[in-house]
Amino acid sequence: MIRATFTLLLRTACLGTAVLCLTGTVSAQLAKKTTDPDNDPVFIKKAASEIDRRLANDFKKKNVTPLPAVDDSRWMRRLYLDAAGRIPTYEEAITFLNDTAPDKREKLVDTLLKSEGYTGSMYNYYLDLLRATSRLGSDGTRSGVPYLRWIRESAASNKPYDKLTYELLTTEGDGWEEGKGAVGYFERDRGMPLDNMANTTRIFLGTHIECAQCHDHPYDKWKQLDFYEMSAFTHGLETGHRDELSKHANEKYNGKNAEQDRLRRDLYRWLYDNIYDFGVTGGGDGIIKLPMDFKGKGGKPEEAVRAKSIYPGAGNTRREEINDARMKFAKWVINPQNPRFTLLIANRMWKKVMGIGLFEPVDKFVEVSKENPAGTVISNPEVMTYLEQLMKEVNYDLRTFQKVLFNSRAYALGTNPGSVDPKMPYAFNGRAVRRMKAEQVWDSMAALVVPNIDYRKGGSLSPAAAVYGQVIGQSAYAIYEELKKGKDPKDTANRIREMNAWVDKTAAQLKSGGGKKSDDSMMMMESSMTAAGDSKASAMQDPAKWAGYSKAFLRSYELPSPTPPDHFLRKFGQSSREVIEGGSTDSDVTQVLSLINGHVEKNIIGDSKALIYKAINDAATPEDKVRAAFITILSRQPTPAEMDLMLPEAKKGRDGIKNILYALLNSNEFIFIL
Amino acid sequence: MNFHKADEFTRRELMIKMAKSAFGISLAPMFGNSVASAADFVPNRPRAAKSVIFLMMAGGMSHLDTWDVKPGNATVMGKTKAIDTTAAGIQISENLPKSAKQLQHMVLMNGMSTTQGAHEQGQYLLERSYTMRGTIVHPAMGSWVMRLAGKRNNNIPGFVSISGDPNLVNGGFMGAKFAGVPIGDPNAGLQDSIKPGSISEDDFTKRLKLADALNKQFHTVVSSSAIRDHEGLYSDALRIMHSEDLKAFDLTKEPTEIKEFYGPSRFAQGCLLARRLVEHGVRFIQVTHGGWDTHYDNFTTVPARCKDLDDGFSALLADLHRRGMLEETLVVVATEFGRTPEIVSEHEDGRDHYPKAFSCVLAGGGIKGGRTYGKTDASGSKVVENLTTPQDFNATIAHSLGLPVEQVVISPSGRPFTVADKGKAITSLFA
Repeated sequence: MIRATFTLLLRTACLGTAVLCLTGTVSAQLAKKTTDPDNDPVFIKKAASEIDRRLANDFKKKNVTPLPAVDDSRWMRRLYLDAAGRIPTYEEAITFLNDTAPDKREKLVDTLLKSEGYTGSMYNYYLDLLRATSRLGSDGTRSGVPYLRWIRESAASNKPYDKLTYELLTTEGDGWEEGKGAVGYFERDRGMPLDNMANTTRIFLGTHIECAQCHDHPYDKWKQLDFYEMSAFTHGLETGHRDELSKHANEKYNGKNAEQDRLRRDLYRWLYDNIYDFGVTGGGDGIIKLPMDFKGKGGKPEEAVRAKSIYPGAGNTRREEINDARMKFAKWVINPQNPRFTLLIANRMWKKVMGIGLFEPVDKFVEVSKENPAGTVISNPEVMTYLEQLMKEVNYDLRTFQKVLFNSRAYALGTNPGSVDPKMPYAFNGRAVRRMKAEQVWDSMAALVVPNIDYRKGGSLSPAAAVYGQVIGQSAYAIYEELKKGKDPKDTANRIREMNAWVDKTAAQLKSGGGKKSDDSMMMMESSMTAAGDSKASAMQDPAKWAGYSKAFLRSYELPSPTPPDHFLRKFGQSSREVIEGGSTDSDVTQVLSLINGHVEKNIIGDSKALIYKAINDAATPEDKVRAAFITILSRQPTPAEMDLMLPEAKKGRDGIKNILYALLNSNEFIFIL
Repeated sequence: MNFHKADEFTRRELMIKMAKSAFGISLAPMFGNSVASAADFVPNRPRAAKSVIFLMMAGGMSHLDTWDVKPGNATVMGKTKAIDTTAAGIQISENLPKSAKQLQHMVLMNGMSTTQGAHEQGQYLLERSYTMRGTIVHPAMGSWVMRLAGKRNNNIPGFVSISGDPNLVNGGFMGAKFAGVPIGDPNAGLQDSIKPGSISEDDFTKRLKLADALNKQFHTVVSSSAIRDHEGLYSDALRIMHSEDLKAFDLTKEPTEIKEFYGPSRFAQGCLLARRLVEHGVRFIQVTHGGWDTHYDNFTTVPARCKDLDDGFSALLADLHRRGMLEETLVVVATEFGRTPEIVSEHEDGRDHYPKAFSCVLAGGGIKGGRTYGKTDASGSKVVENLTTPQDFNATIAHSLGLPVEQVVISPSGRPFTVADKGKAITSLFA
């Protein structure tokens, strides 16, 4: 039965691509490294087959039967959600389902991996991984936008993961400078360099050493000394800028021109928090003093220790090398010989596509040691080894890596009918059902209301400048550009002169009523957007094609990171971006209240202009309307039983249609991915 | 009393049965809830408090201008004067005249001291007993209470946060089911708990029936525990919507004179809502009152903040007392740190952050009132007697509820935690 399915699939693929079949027969031979694997269908096919071959061996060994492959509808919905972050629109679904080309699946993978939705989903992925936020500091006073912008640009240019990592760990300079936004990696954790190193170790090396910050690790082999030796790599770097501008920001204003002084002070403060105070200097000392209360083995309180990596390969041994420790560390982290870096990202990408990691949790890989005799279990070591090799072959190009996985037969296997415990090794003989992530729920719903939603811009990456609820008619980036005007950003005296001039000019402008009121369209990112329909929330410079569509509907990647705590996204588990990959797909009752009484009815079904009605309005007969509703929301045709169930409603007209849409949006099949 | 409760319970069950038949969808398991119910919980001391109302003064409440006055030391007191209270020998700030008349119910915790001088970190330690780490989120106090004591009333949430940042009350590693349910505006009630007027009763039932029919078919394809949990929440949601207890969230049910007794501010109305929620069996309610960060113009801002605090807090104590609920309800006034005794004249007489010494208040919940605990020196700059850490403070709250303070809960990452870290409950505060 299973064999038959596979044969069928192969034959289908062979119709138009005979060459592929000749070279793509299941083979133990590993795919050869090519210069441009992304555009080499032979390479992709071979690599995908290799994964399938290794999985098939494992099924045999474990005596498990792979589930029959899914049909086009379910495969398409999966792919849209996994690659573009939302369900397909009616048009997209119909186009794909009606396409008779034998290679339509490969083509859809190619299309979606080059879409805006893919870039945005990768951006969201990095925001979660790196805990990147729009606002920084304990009270959110500082802007984190240059970092987000750098992440978005990295996702858009498909920057290889090793290069991205290297830039995060080594960038020095002014974060608002072109290409320097990566300094946000350290700005994010200003004042908490030890926590920053603990996170670095966890993100890139899958090793939890945070316990060792205060004492030798109780359940692992790490010692407190290891922690400080690692921290020495980045020790001594400075975040932010401290100079006379900050004095202006604390100016007193009880003199004769109190009101004007206050305005100037607040402008300086805005400037300082939002543009000036964002940068990193110093390459890392490579040396650190142990804390006063150090109690681990191998060191004494306040002893200076030199940088040394927890896995062999990097250290700072000579004094003259001081200040290049970050670079040394970064080179070691991304070295293909590093035992963890490739393993970690290969497994993360596997999880992103396949739903569950080959080991879990994906940021924790524990070697067998006497403190932890069990160690981490890899559910399929042959596949894991190959994925590491593949990651190196594609030169850490995550898009190509995912392309291979999307093209595998494993990705198309049926849905496991029962619960799968993600903590137990999984055979991957089928997909485990998952609730959509918060971003997938929100984005799918947004796509049911607003056409071309992927391209609709918010203002999260070019926030407005606002003081006293008045916006200055420029984005923060425009102001930065104006202040810089091609001058050397390191020339502090000149910068301060420029800033003084800007403050005086802007103060005069605001005083004469030149600023716009805060509910102006530019204010969107500064306002707290609670739900779709909030009149304060508005997209920046929204082109006419979106006129009349609620401005609160934007893709999640166009909203602030994270969204305000009462936003739909947060209710459904968007990460607060405090901890690494802190999102949740747990359901709770406030979500259901929102589905039955709130967002679905008020902002989707209640919006007569919403895209959700288009195909239904275009359909002539009640039967066609039911079909249109199913494809619009569930990406598939109704079964005969479902048609019988819904037809009486469709015949009732508008109210009946609303009942159908509501029921579909509240069905398990909408929110759970098969 | 018992009779009345039994009666109410039956009515509630009846409502659920009606809802069940009306909606035609399975409400089973009837009381299947992820959070343990009160029936499982036995407090470890007699006459333990049943609920906590936690009034959070976010931003750092100036101790010298509220609960820890230093009459005669004009250098540190600035414009703030002291007044007598109902407790002999105890004075508080003139900014809190109504609270002065309720002091017989309170212990002024004047020896508070924390290690955290930034807002986020300070609030985190205060609410979670652990210092903030980038690697784990510890559960909020209300989450701990839910985890250790369970709900008192399974029909409505057990942990509610009014007017505060939901981040302050998230469940940390315990997850969403132990998080505080956020209420933005106390006058607006529980978000989305009422069927929108655009859907008729008939259509609402019809829609849920259709969804249920789709789900039944879906179960033949796949049926995981996550799906069943999700579906179960529809029962919970309908139960809340049709619960007699939903009116707990509705301040319009409150007589005008009571609303006026509490005072007009959002905070004071939040206090009233908290009382209603306690009446309906909510375990932990946090009401947040922000704006205490008085770096500038302390002597204008603090009195304004105090007006709302004084209205809401004093009314809450008087009202709970009158209803005989104060003994079983612990009322807490807390803040993340105090403010400097030095007055910064360049900042229009402001005060900066001061973690070394500050004040909180405990009332009701078995507390023997009319006292102070802990003491600062003559300038309010150093704790000289009974220094109390946020962990001790939280251990004391836990003790009031009869919770096992030393019970270890292991996080999903395998690390052990307790409700108050290494804090020691101050048992001498209780009658």
